[in-house]
Amino acid sequence: MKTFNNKTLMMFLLIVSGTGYIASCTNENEAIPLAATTGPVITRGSNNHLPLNMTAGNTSEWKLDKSHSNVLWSTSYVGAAGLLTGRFNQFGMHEVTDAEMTTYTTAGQPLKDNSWAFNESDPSKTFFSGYVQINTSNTGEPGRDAGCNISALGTTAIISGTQNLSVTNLAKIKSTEVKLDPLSNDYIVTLNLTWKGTLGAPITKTLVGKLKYIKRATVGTTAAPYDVFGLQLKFQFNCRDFGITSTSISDKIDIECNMNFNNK
Amino acid sequence: MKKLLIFSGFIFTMVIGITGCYKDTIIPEGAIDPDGPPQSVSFSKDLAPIFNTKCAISGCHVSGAHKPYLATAVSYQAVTSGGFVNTIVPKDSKLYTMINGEMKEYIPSAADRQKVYDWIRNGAPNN
Repeated sequence: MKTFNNKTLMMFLLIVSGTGYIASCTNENEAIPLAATTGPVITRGSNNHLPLNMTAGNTSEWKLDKSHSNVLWSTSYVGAAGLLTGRFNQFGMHEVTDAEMTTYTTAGQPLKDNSWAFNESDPSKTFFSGYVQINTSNTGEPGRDAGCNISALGTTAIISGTQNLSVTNLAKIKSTEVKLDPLSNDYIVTLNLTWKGTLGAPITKTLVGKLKYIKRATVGTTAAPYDVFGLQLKFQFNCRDFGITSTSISDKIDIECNMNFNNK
Repeated sequence: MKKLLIFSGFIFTMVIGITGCYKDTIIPEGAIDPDGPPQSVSFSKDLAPIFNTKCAISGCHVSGAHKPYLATAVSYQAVTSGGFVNTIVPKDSKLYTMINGEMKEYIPSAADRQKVYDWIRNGAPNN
């Protein structure tokens, strides 16, 4: 049985060949366009914040708003499961000298929160120091916070009416370099973490973290407006470096410091 | 003669069909931004095999030699627990700096190194 005669077959082949030829000749290679940008859009202002004398009512002198600030920590439970989190109830932004490392009889923080400066566009002018009282770690579980945490972290229990800034109870950070982050509006911070942990004496580890500036804004009532801004510092450290052996937590501890300031 | 023409036409059609149905994808230099949004990376499927074959070799990153130990069974725990990964500043991670520095020759593929970078940027998940 002959479905097509030779002429029909020739025509069919010619059309198919021609179509294939034209299609292949006009089929351009696919060129992926270049990325629209070579990176994120980064804009930085010219804000410069300083504590100076922290005089109440002086709007050019910035004060740490401690009641709206916090120092948070988190780590994986037993190094593998969900997060175990907590916060330090007592902290400050003061470079605590050796002479100041003692126990104070007072309810509030005994040292001024004045060891910092922030310049939005010139990171060489930005620096900060801070501390936490280790025994004020608060996981929301009193039995743990006042119990095993105390010995596991190498410190002593809270004594009511006192602020324990002694060497066994103090973890300190101090920035050594602040640079612009080329990938975001943030800043890359090199800092020293000094803590005794369960070791015989404090040691200092150099770490790298990220600092975010939450821009200055005017808040408050129309009659009494004031300005605020925020600094958020995040970094990680290995708690085994400080002699922490608890198997309930991971090696890696994440720290997040949310510091809010106002000029009231 | 007619049969020859038909046969030739048939061959011609086949050649056109075979060669005309592809196109090249040209990726110009700079099209992929290594710091662009991180891609999804599975540690167990993408990274553990790389570490196991290229790093966990005798005398290198195996138990008793250099940390982190990178045999498949222990690599995730070793990498994430020993201070080798900084998920806040990924480029500061020791893992990142080593495979892009001293250890680059052992992971020569830029695509493989990018996977490690993306995994860190994704928060170093156990996935």
